Amino acid sequence: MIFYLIAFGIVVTAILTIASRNSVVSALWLVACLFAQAILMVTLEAHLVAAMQVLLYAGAIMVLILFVIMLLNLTPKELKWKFIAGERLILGSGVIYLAGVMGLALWIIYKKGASFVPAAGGGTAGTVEAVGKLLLTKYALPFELVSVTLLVAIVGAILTGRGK
Amino acid sequence: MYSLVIDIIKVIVIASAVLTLIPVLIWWERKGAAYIQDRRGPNRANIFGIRLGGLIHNIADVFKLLFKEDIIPQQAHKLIYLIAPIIVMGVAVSTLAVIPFTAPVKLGDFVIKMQIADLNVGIIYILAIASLGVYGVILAGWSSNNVYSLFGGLRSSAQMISYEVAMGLALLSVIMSSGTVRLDEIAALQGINILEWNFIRQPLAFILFLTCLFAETNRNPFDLPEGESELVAGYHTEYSSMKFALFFMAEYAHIIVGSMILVSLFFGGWQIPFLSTEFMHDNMNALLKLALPVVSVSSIAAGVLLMRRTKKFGWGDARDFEPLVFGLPAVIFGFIIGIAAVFSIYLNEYAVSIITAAAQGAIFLVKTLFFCWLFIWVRWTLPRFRYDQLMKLGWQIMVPLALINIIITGIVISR
Amino acid sequence: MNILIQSLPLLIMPAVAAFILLIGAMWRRISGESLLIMAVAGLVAALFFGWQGFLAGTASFPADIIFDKIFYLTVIIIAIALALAMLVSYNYLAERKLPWPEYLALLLFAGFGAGLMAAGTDFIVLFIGLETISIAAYVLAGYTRDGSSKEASIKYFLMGAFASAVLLFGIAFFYGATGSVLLSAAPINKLLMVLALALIISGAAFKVAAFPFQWWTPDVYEGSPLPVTAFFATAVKAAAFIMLFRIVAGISGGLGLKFESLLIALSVATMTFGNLAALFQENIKRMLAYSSIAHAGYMLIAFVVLGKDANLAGAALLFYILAYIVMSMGAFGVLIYLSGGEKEFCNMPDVAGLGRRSPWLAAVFGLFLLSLAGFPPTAGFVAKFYLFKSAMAHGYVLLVIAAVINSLISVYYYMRPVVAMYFGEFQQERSLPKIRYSVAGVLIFCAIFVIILGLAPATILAILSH
Repeated sequence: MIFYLIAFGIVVTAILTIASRNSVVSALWLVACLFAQAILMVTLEAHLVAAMQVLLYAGAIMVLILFVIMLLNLTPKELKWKFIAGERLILGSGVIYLAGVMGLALWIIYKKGASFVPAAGGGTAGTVEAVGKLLLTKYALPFELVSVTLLVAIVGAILTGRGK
Repeated sequence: MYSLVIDIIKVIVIASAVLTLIPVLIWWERKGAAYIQDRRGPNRANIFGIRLGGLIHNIADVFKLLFKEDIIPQQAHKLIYLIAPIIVMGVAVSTLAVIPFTAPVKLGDFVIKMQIADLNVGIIYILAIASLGVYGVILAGWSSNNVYSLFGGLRSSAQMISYEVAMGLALLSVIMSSGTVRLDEIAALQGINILEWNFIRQPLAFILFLTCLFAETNRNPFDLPEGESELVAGYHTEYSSMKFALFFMAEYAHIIVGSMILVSLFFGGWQIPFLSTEFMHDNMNALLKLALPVVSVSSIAAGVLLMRRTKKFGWGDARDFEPLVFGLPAVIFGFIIGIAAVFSIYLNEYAVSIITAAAQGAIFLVKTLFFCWLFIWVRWTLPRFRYDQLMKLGWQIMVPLALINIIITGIVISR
Repeated sequence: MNILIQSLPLLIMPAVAAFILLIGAMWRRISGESLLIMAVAGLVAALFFGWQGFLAGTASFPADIIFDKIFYLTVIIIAIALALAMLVSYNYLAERKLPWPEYLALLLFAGFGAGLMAAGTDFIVLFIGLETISIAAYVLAGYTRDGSSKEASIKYFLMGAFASAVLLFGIAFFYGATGSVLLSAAPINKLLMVLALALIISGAAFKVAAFPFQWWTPDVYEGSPLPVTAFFATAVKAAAFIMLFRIVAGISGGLGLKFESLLIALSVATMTFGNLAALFQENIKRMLAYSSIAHAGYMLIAFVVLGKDANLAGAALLFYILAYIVMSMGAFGVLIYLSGGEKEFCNMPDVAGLGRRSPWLAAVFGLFLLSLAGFPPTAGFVAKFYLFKSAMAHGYVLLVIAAVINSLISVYYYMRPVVAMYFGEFQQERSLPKIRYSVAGVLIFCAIFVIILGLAPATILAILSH
């Protein structure tokens, strides 16, 4: 029950995010959406991930996005619909694809009920200790590999941000 | 059911305690500023002539702010303009949830953790919530539709993001040496020996964290978001009445909460130096035999000293009797304590637990207030940073230092 | 220690990249040539160690990564593609005075990501590899920082991020269905697995530009700088295909019959769309973009066969990738050579009359285009032949017929530049840019390779069939 409430909140805020004309407002809805996701994670006992979600996404990344929006000072009038070539085709294939995936998902729920594999470790799987241990043992390799990805991202960011 | 009731009581008591501290801190700031600048500070507002050294000014302030016209600028974004101060205040108060105020209180088999929410993410929760605080500032700045406000908001967002990085890294070394992220465990682990408290074991982390705390609370020397000589009042330029009051209160709430975190992390939290919880619990009656007469005598002495300042024909109005307001209760309190000591009341176990907790809470409060005073002290003695200096300090000095500290901590604890 | 040696071909690329970045930052006056030589030397070393590893055989790192023959072959192919892309971009970057260190480093990091995509046996590693190569690609697309380049970068980034999200969504469902991120994990909830695989395949289809998800390709390929486009068409595409191969081949119990028909549909739709759209292009760069979509369609045939005979399909796919890399790198190389100076010259009129002005260049360009179209003595023919034959052997006759018809359609648009070169008149007086050794070297290398692969494919096929 709580899940459906939160999920409904996430979907509504997500829709509002893309439906708002004012970019600052839409960024705020995104923050609300991320926050709702964090709540969902708390109900799933994933406390660390929830805290990280708030700390990094809502607290850091979205602040930077707001910062940029404010620097650009976009007013709602400047944001108009712009159509790209072949937009109907793209839209059509997107809608068909989305309908297909949703249909598949609903069909599965109808057929089998939403029976997922229960998380290993029960209620303690999401604690700092458990996640930390997993990161440094079972998932040590991907954990280290991400550093290269981040390095690439940093190089890319500097390159894109640098003046000519 | 029981625990829910206890939780609600905890929330109410703790939140109201902190909210009561705010006016005291405001008074303290005014008096402290006056003291540092060698003047008297506020001392005019009075009720029937009683002024309490300027404390009445806060009541006057409250009435003034409540009855002022509440202006919303026409070009402002109404909704965001309204919620911004709420966010600021809400964030400041909700950080309180994980701070341990005393050691867990044992009432028979019943253990009450003296912290509203015992989250296993502890410090990370604080960081997460604190990182949301910037929204209030940034949105207030944007929604006011005022250039100065916007600048304030922009400055604060850049500043807070920058210092959050250093703050998190500084905390990391504390987490590493403690081996836990729960604040209550960190506080408990530091023990009763002052030399084992984290500010001795992690001096660099302490200094970095303190600096970041100043930046996160937007206090001097990092008060660029509201630098009044450049930006009028920064992000809250357009705010008036109680909305402004919320910003104003939130600043002090931030100071209090920040000090509490600092105390929990680096100064042993609720630990009374050289008196462990068990020791106090077991020997409470003996301790009280020792302590009560001392408290009684000193309280009476202080009360008498205060009352001696009552001048019979000094001013000729109610001010003459001001010392009585505190002096008389002190004497009466002293006598009551004295009687209790004479009759040597024997306390049962529950009372012992509660008194132990009270003593620990008191020491926690004392430590917290000391750091609150530090905030005030710094504000009135240090100049403000320039913006590039601020960024340079944050990124080029604090972050590398914090990283070095992590490496050193890693080497030390791995041995 | 053994693990270290066996992972050397993978590790050498980011190491060289970091070294180049540091050198470039600390010693600003270092010339582009020396950095280029360093990078290529690193790739050659990776190639060498890859070959050594290939000879030594399979080694697996605990759980997440496996260094098998496919991995080593992929590393070799990617290293070749990257080295060609670096060499071919020499005069492009030098004449536009673009910074060298970041360019080379990003390419090398992309190589690392591609290696991970070939080595991963769980979705996390695959995804990290994919993100590494994608981020490098987004940045490279905007490398010249002019309008179209920026636009390409943003478009690629948005589309790519969306694709990654879909893929990740699929991985999440996969975890829900199996309780593990290992590719080989057995599904507990079979139906959920279907949804997971559908999402994963659509995410991967985005990356390889298969039919309903190919819309970004022409714009991105056209807007990006030419050498970067060459890199997209070769290394990035190859890596995406290898990842898809890993996923499809690694899923326990295979994809099942439903997905086979889905893949057939995807394959036919992709090649038909690519070929039909390519017919109407006036810009050769854009035409090559559509042609890369069409080739992606051909390559998808290998995945149809995969369910029946993994070895055959793997060999056919790798051979096709290798052939496609050399021929499209060659075609882009000619365009890059023509596009000296400030502007890119990629329109049909720009190559008109090339046959008389510069017969060798025209001959080489013609060779690459013929190979792309699949004419007999070239690599393109053998690759297609081998692929179609493997499909035929397992009874996918209709699919092969569709593919052959498509190949016939493609002849038309591949011939248009050739016709323009030999029978057109040049329309503007423009002296050809000075030939650079590195570009010329790449063209010669590609041309020889196209011919060798076309005439004597047996050795390489034998290697790839392992």
